Amino acid sequence: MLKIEELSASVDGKSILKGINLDIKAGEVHAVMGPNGSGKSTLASVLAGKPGYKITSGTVTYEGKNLLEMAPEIRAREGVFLGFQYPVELPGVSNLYFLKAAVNAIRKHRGLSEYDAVDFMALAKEKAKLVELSDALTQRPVNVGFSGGEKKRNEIFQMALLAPKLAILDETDSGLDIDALRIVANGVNAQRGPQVSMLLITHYQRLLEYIQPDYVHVLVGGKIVKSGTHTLAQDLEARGYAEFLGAGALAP
Amino acid sequence: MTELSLQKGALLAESLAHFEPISGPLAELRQAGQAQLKQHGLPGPRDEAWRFTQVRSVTDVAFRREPAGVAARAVQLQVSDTATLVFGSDLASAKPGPGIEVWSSRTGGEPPPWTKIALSSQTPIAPFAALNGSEAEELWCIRLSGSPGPLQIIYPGPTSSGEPTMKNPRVHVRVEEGTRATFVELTTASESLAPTLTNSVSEVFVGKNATLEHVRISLGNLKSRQISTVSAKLLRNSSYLSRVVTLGGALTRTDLTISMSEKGAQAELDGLYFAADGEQVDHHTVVEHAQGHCQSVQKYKGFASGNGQAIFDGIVRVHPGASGTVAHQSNRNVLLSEEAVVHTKPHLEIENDDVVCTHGATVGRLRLEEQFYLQSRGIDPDTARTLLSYAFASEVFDAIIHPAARDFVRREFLSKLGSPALFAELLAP
Repeated sequence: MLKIEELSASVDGKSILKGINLDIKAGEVHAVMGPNGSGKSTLASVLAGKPGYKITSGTVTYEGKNLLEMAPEIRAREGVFLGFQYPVELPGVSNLYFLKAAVNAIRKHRGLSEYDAVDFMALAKEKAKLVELSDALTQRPVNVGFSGGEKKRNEIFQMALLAPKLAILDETDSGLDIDALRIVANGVNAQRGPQVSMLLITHYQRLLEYIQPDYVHVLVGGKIVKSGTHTLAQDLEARGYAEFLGAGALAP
Repeated sequence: MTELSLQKGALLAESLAHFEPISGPLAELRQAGQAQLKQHGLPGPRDEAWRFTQVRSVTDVAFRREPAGVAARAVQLQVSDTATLVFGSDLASAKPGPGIEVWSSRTGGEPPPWTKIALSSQTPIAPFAALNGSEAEELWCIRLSGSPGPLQIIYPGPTSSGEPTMKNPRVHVRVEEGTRATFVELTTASESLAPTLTNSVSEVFVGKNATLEHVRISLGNLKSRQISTVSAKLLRNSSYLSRVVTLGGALTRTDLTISMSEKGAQAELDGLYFAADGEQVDHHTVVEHAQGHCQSVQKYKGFASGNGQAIFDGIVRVHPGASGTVAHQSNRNVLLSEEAVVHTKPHLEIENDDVVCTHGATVGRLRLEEQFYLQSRGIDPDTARTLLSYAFASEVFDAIIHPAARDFVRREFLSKLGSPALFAELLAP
C-alpha cells in the first residue's frame, strides 16, 4: 500500500525528516508518536503534498506509484486522505456542497458516475451518523463556527464520504474532550477494514486507547527510533520520550 | 473643496455645449453644474483625490450625450422580485407599487412639494457631480413612504453609434420618517466599440427612524467608464445600509459621502469589488460624523487579477461635537496575480476624545495552505481558488438583506471569477 524509503525533507533549508522508513500494508493501522518538533506533522504534510516542503532524498511508493510526483488533488483522488490538525474555514460554502464536489471529483477520477444532489444527501446523512454530526452542522458553511471537536468530527465525516484507501490523521486527538475523542475514535474505527490503511500521528497515547494500532513508531529528530506493537505506546505514556531525547536525536 | 487643476480636455470642451433652453428644477441643476464646471473644471492626475485614477481615460475623450429619445433597452440583468424602472424610460406606464412615488423632470410636470428638499442639492461640490448637473438629461425624484416594496433602477450603458457616448443620470431618493425600504441601483455597460461613460449622481435622504438598504451594483466592461457620486444624509436614529458592488470596467469609480447630521444615526458601508485585467475600480468614501452617538461600520473587500488595479480611499471625520461616536473602517484586498495592484488608504480625522474608532487595511494573496486543504479533498486548484475567493467575499454577500439582490450579486461575482455555473451548485441545499 505505502512504502516510505529513506525519506528526507526540509523546510526553508532546515532539515526536518532525516531518512524515514515505513511500510504500511493494506488494512494496517500504524501510529507515529513523538515529542513536539520531531517531524510528525511534516511527515503527514509531505505524504499529502502540502506545498513548502522540499524532498531532499528518498522515495514514497503508493500502490506501486510514485506518490511524491502527484499533485495533492491527484493523491486525494487516488485514495489518500489527510485529516487536518487545523481544518480550514470556508464562509459561504456549505459543507454539503464542498463534500459533494470533492466526492464527485474523486468518483470521476475513478471512472464512476457522479452523484446527484439527492443520492449524495442520502449518503451524507448516513455517514454523518458515524460521528454524530447533526443535519444543521452538515449544512453550515465548512467549519465556520464549529467548535474544535466539531471540526475534528467533520474531518472524520469527510473521510467517511471520501472513502480513502490511506487515511493520515494528523493530531486528530488534539483539543478534544473525552466525549469528542470517543466519537471521533468510533468514527475512525467504523472505517477500518482490510482495504483501508491508516497512519495516526499523535503526541499522546490517549487516542490509541480508542483506536488500537497494529504498529507504533517513535519519531524523534526526524528519524524513526523505535517500532513496536501497541504496547509500545503504553510504555511511552509511562516513561515519556526522555530515553530517546537523551540519545542526542533531538530535532534541531 | 480643494482647487482642481483646470483640465481643458476634450470632454469639458464638448460638455459645455448647451441644451435647448428649459425652465424648472432641471434648468437650475444645469446652471449650477455649468457654473461649477467653469470654475473648477475636471480633475487631473495631479489632484490628490484622483492621483491613482486613470482619469484622463475620461477627461481626454470627447463624449457626446446619448441622443434623446433612444429607447431604453430591455435589460436582461435584473434583480428579480423588485419593482424595476429603467432610467430614461417612460414612467407613464410604470407601476412601481404602493409607497413608491416617482417624479421625472421630463414627463412629470410641476414638481410636487415633497421634491423641494431633493432639489436643494445635498451633493458635495465634486467635479463629476458638476458635470452630471451640467449634462443631466433628466432628473428623477423618488419618495418612499409607508411600506414600500423593494425598488430597483437600472442604468443601461449608453448606446453608442460608434462615437464615445455618455449618460448623466441623476436620482434623488427620499425615505420618509419611519419607513423601511430597499433601493437597488444597477449600472450596466453596453457592448460598444467606442468608450462609454455613465456619470451618475444619486442622492439619498433617510428620514428620522427610517431604514434604507441601498444596494449599488456596477457591471463594467473594457470600454465602459462609470463614475458615480453618491451621497446620503442621515437624520435622527435612521439606518443606512450601503452595499456597493463593483465588478470590473475600464474605469469604475464611486465616491460615497455619508453625512450623519443628527444623533443616533447608524450606517453600514459594505463594499465588494473586482478589477480584472485591463480594469480599474476605485472607491472613495467619506463618513461625516457631524453629530454624536452615531455609528458607522465600514467593510470593503476586493480583488485584483491580471494587471487590474483597485483603489480604496476612505476617510472618517469625527467633528468636535460628535461625542460617543463609534466608527470602524476596514479594507481587505486579495491580489490574484503578480501584476495586480491595490492602493489603499483608510484614514481617520478625529476631533473629539469620547470616541471608539478603528481602521485598518490589508493586501494579501489567497493562502496556499488553505488552497491545499481543498486540493487534499480532490478539488482542482482553479476551483479551490474560486471557492476561497467566494469565501473571502461571502461576508459582503451575507450582509445583503434583500434576498434577490444578494443572489444577484453572488451570481455576478461568480461570473466575474469565471465560474457562473457554481452559483446553482453553491446555493443548492
